[in-house]
Amino acid sequence: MTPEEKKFVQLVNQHQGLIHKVALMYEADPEARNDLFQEIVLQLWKAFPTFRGESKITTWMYRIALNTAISGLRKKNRKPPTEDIHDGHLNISEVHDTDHEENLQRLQWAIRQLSEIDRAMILMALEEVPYEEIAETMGITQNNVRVRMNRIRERLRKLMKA
Amino acid sequence: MELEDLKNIWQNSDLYKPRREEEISDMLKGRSKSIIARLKRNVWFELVFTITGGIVLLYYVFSIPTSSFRVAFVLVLLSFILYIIYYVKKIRLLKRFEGSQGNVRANLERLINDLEAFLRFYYRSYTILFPSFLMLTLILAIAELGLEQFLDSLQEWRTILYLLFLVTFSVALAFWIGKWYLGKLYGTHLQKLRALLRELEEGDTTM
Repeated sequence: MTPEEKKFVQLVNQHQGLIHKVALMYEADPEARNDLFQEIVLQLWKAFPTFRGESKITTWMYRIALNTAISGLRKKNRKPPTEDIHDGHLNISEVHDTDHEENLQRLQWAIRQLSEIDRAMILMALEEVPYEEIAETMGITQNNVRVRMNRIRERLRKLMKA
Repeated sequence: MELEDLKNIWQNSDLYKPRREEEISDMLKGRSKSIIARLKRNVWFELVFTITGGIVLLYYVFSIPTSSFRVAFVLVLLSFILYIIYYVKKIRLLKRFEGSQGNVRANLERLINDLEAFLRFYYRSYTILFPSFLMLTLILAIAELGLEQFLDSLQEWRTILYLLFLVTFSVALAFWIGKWYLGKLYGTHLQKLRALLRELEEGDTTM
């Protein structure tokens, strides 16, 4: 492994949660999710030599990961977006209480009902990314982020109750 | 349920199984499965195949004694050269799709422009290809029959009408098939990208 590769692998390892969560947002099928994870890693690796540290590393990673997931010309899902609450299977390694697990599955199902753009925004919001950074990543104004977030929150609230 | 509650659910869950460094490192050796990467691989294969075929044909051009065959081979060789130019241009266009470091909106705009340019080029090449092959067939017929005999056969109205029908029908078919084929291959992607961009722009224009 070259020093550059080593540096990159360590970086991805450190922030792999971000990639996993993007893949989780956009692919319900575990195999397709795995493919998306790998595609994002490859795209990050391709772009790595040109990363000059002008933006935060996570902003840079979000941009590439979301571009790959949203607009990257990938093959269609092997499986259509999940309609069943219990379809979006998670890799839960620990045993959680039933209520929490149910809520998580419901949240995941609700998120999948959103548009691809809204999914990106709610993901960053759930990860507590500041609105300024969300606006920068999406290429829209902070005002737009605020308005959209209100709309998304409202939609999620209804979906979670459904 | 408020956003804080949702954050609570989200952040207090084990959403994924972490990968080991070795697994991540192995991924770097893998090949991209994106449509663009596949297209590029296919075009490279076709390019190498055409160049190899061209070299073999070039050898035959110089080793065949019959002149009419030589003309035919030279013409095919010329079409190979056109194909090579076509493939190189296609690879260059496909390379423009790479690099998704801009923000989501800028990336969508760039992708739409690039995909439109790619489709325009693909469609034009496709529609030029058919008439070019007709022309090639005509030249081969002249080479085979001789110009005099060929012109003699054009004296009959029925032959002229038949040829005109054939040309019109095949060119129209090429236009139609080209449009349908490209629409089927990339139409959905382009529509999806445009819809995503519209969705993003909507919020900013209504502010």
